[in-house]
Amino acid sequence: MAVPYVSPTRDTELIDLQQQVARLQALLEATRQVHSTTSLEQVMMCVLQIVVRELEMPGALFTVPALTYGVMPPAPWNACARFPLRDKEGSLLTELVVALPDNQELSLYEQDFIEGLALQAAVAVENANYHHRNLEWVRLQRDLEAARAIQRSLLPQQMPVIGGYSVAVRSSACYEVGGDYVDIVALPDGSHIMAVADVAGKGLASAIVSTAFRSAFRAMALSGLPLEEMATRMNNQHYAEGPEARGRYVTAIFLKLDAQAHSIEVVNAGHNPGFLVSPGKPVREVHASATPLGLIPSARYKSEQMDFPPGSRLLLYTDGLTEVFHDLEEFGAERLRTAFLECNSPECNAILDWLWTTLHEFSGGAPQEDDMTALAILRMPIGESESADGIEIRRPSGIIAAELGETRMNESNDTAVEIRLPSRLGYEKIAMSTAASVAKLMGFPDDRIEDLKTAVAEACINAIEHGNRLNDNLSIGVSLSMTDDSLEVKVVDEGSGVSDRPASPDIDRKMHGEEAARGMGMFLIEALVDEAEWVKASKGNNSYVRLVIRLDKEGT
Amino acid sequence: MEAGTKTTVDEIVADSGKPVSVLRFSGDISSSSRDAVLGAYGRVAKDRSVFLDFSRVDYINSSGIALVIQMMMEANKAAQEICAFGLTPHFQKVFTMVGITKYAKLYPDEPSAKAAL
Repeated sequence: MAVPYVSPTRDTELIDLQQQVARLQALLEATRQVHSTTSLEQVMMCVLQIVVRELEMPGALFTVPALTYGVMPPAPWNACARFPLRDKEGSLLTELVVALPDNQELSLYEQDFIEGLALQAAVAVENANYHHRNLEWVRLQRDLEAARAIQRSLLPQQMPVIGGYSVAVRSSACYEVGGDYVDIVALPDGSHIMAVADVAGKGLASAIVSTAFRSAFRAMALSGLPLEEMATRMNNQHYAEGPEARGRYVTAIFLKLDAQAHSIEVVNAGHNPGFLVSPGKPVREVHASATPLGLIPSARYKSEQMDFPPGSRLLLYTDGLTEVFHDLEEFGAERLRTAFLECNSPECNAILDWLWTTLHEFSGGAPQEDDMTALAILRMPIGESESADGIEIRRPSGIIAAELGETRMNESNDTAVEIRLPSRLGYEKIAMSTAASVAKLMGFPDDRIEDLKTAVAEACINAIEHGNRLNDNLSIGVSLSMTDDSLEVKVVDEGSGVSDRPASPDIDRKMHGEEAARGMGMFLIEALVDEAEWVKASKGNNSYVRLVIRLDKEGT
Repeated sequence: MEAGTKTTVDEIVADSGKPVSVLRFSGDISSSSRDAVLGAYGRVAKDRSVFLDFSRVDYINSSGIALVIQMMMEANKAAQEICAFGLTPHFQKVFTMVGITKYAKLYPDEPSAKAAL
């Protein structure tokens, strides 16, 4: 077989090409090695070893962090070759310094190789830095999660059971942890000391201060100190902690509830005024008697004594509730007071639900910008839940009996059932059961009856919460009108009706706190019945929601 | 009028050997169930999956579902897996409609939940 002729020139070119391929392969292999780890030290040591072993240099080092391999002359390495490593923005990450063999300079190949290696090393160093930061971030996240769990566990886990009273607290931190604090301490004499406080600032530093505040508060509350003395001592103690603690001063409002005497005592230390609403009286605001705790030494605090007659309600809160914004407009104390006044639920959890929903709606679902904490206390009105001697009794069940035929709400059908219910959460179950019984008599299948039950319950809840604003002096009406093939339900309230139909719930937004967890009632109603219509109040007519489900005679 | 919610917490082991906290609800789940749902969840260990047992729940409304979603938010932050069982077919449908099944698996009963984990 004939050997092909290769001219000397082509032969030289071929050797050059082979050398270039070999160099590129060497650089490729070096690159693979450099990128095989996310440890900064391993990346740098790998680069130094390649320079010394592959290029047979005496030694090499990185300036920051200081790392040397082989034999290096002493600093300042004037006779060495230097290769800066820069990040994507051009900032210097570190410098690769290479010691040269005696009386030699780097060949063009060596220069190219190290420059290429330095470029790859810069990327690997930057990635290692990112990786290190990610690990740090994960560790910090875990720490914050643990801190958050601890802080949540320090909130009152169960509300005290006080005959004739309803008590509820709510606290939501803006970040993982916050500087708001709420607590309830039961004393041996049956009274309770409560506190709502706000450490200046937000986040972890404020959370640490609030934990220290908790220890001091609990110790002093249990020692039986009068509230004024307790506030004075806590102020002095906090001030004495030094300038760091003083910068994280605490606004606080302390309350002592004597449920036997039906009286409260309040001390306000630089905190937002609490609202006390008593039947037939103007709203009383409990203003600060002196500066926040820890701000100035020797402040003197004055307590205010108040009766807490039946039907009274008190709200203590942190400024996170008033400093909710819609664009540039602040929610403010006046709106908070109005919302508190509007909600007449006898159940403090429902009152706080109402306030939180109102704030969420005002902000348009914008992310929370401050820690939000509130405590509500309510004394049940006489006749509603307790007798004059404080023994808890329940409203007689006769009051919730259906008033058949009291008001005709539907003129077009002869076969109708109408009931009127107290505007109180829980009573929707009577409407639900009534609708289910009627639907069963009409021959609706079980699955449609379940759909109807949920839709009717949600319509009643909307009427009670949003139409009648939890005012249990009002009522809701429910009418059921039957035709051969359909059942129409109307739920009437005494409000003005809904203004906007909410969008469908977005579970992803809810799970990320970008949308209120609540607000699914109208969606469920629309999804579960064949027709749903919301009619606003007009010209003396009440607002109502109208639902229709149809009997599928072929399918049943 | 509202029946209130009772919650008991059981610690069990799934068929795979993984520890699980089971929140067993009974009664109604509504707006007044905050302590029974969120308070009970706050007391379970955060290093294991959580089962929600609805088999003795008589009534759930949208406010109660909202509390379940808030609890799932907390669990999601703690990277805890949530499974639910004992829901009637109707409430399985409602949970699916509001999107809960995107973040929590539903099983007909406790044995099937234990087998799947």
